[in-house]
Amino acid sequence: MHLELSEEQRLLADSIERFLRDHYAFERRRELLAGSEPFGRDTWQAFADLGLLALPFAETQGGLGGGAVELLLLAEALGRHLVVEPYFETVILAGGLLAACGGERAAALLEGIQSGAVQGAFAYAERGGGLPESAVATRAQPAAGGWRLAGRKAVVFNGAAADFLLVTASEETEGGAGAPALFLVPGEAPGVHRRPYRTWDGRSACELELAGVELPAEARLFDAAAFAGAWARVRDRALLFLCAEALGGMEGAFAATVEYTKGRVQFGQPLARFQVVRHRLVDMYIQKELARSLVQALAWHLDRDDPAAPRIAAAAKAQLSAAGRFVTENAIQLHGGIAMTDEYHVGHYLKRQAVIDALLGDRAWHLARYRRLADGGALQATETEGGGPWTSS
Amino acid sequence: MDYGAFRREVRAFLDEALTPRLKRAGQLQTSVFADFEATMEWHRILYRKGWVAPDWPPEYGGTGWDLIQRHIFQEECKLADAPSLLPMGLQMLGPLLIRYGTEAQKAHYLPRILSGEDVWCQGYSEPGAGSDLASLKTRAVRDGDHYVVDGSKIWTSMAHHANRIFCLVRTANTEKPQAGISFLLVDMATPGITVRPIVGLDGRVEQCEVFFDGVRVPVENRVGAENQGWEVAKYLLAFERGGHHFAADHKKQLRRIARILAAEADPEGRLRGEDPDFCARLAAAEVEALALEYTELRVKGGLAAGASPGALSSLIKVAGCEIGQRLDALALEAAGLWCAPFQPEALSPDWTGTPAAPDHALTAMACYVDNRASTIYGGAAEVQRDIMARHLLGL
Ligand SMILES: Cc1cc2nc3c(=O)[nH]c(=O)nc-3n(C[C@H](O)[C@H](O)[C@H](O)COP(=O)(O)OP(=O)(O)OC[C@H]3O[C@@H](n4cnc5c(N)ncnc54)[C@H](O)[C@@H]3O)c2cc1C
Repeated sequence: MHLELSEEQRLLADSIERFLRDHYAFERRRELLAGSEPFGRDTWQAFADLGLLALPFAETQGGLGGGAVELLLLAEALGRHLVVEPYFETVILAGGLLAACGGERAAALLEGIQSGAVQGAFAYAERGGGLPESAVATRAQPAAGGWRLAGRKAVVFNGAAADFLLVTASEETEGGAGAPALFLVPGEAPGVHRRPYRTWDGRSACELELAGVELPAEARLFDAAAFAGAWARVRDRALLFLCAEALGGMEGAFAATVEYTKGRVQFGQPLARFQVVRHRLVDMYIQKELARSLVQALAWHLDRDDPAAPRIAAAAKAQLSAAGRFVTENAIQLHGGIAMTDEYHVGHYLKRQAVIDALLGDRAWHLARYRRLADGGALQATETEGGGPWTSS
Repeated sequence: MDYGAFRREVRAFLDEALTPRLKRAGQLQTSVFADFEATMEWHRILYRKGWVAPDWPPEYGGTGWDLIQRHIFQEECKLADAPSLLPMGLQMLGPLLIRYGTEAQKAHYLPRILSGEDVWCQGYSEPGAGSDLASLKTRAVRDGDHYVVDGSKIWTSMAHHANRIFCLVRTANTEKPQAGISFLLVDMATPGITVRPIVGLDGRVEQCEVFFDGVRVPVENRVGAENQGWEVAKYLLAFERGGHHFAADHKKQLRRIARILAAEADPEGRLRGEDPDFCARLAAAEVEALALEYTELRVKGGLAAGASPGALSSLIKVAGCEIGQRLDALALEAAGLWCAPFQPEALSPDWTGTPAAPDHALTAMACYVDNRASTIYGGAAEVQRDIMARHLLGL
């Protein structure tokens, strides 16, 4: 059964795959990571030229109005090719929140994002933990007709390259952590200090210090109540994106392992002839296909604005995390020593998978969330009504 | 034997002998190998104390401790954050020479292993011969009182630091490939040897490729008879697999997890250590580790009584590595987003910069990634299971 794709969706998937195959060989990625640039500016511009940076935005916002299925196709390809460019950070998170906000300033930034000129980051985590909706210690105090931000953000992906940062901060004056509101902070604003580093998955992130950053009144994009609503709209698409990227990673790791074990001869026969290896490959395949079904179902629910979507998203993130780890860990295991090297691509899928697992809630958290959203009930009878997004052709 | 007193004696010594830098190297160790300089410094300190090779017979420089004492010693070293010593000389070649070496070989090499003057690496695997080690192709051709060695080895840990390498080489093309292998001791300074470091997934160099181009090795450097190297090599592999102290490793891992749990919150902002689901999974892993610890004691008890560890060392290796991997995954989970910062330089004990992640989470990802190799090296887990099926279960 295949995902039922429109002609346009098929063309989109083909053009992304062709571009990455031709321009994003693993060797090029290695050269990029050996340099000092956080990502490939030329690749980013090519994404813009291909229209990918405008893909998920509504036509009224200058975008192409792509839906969840389009996002899935894109993210899957990015995952398969281990792309380190900050699509998730700039387009999905920062762009998604700006799109939810609306207004002139957001429109200007969105235009910049879509043309490839502007980079964004979403700074929510503190002390290594936390979710966008978590209470934060970073404070926003009213000051001189605007705001004054003070606090520290941890592991801000794409933070160093970002022209603007969307920062969660609490307006509460009392005590410890408070409900987050969202503020737009120019990267070059006085008092913004960034300490950049690379991440294990070949991306870049930074520690962000906000040392009394003075902002105008309109810098607050959402107060606490509005932010909760806005994030809820962005979150499930962001989860879809991460899950689809993980799925792409599983595909890449799996395909490489099948290829390798067919060619590698030990004890006078290809590794893939050993029953243990064959069964492991089949188990990897099973996990990958179970994961694919959930990711595709999630896209389908999202495109229908189905109220079940958040629950499916929790299910998908939890399942993809377990499946992704199983597949990428075993990809290394079945390759042997070669997979523990930097110069061979297969081990890098595991590193990206491990980071994805930690982003926007880990497996345990999503399982708990799933239980909560399912309201303690078992699978609902109507769950799969309509059959899902597949055709049997 | 008053083990309590012994433990106190070990502790007192470690307290005094482990400098902050050495402890730092132990805290930052994420694989089999700690920082090389620190490792060798600690090696020399233990040598001066007479404790560098507790597993060797006393007449060759061992301590004469019984099994429990050695267990206690390893545990205390790990828990005091001592860097691990290199196993190639102490755990692998040493016992092998004691068993198979000539008097001249023993007299020459064993003291140099003990003192740390010689740093050995293990030249077994080749690009075409990993699990199927017996298919190795590196050739040694007799030329008077020398062998001339040509070929290459790969995944040779610490070859870039070692001054000597012990190698399996092909000295005959026999129908049964095992029957044409010999075991040679080679000086890395011999002309014709080149070393290519391999960068690992963690961004650091531990393994190398070693190329041999017309390398002349004196015949007296052969251990065991010509074409009898396989038997010698197998003896060593049993020690490589069984000579490790997994229980001590697991305790160190558990302590690392405890430090993360005490400091990090889960996504809800609740302290990880108060999350009943996580704690239940951790307890399950800890119970497995305890079961393995007693198994180690059981098997080593047999060893002490003169039995060969044989296939039981495979059991310990498979279970020990897989439990270790589970513990690493739990540590990674507890570390949350702190898994992301990639700063290989921060794992050097001499680095003075500001790390991106807090101390308790600094090693989480590197440990998780590096330890994936533990079910590959020294015989992949699948191959170990085959060995057990054959030799333990008689299948
Ligand atoms: C970190 C590290 C350090 C190392 N250090 C050293 C060293 O110092 N000296 C040295 O000589 N070597 C060293 N090695 C090499 C190590 O011993 C080999 O990697 C190992 O023997 C596996 O060989 P291979 O990598 O060629 O994998 P292969 O033999 O190609 O096997 C790949 C995978 O196939 C599967 N497999 C293989 N055979 C079978 C079978 N019969 N049945 C079922 N499944 C099978 C296993 O999953 C295995 O992991 C090191 C390796 C690593 C990763």
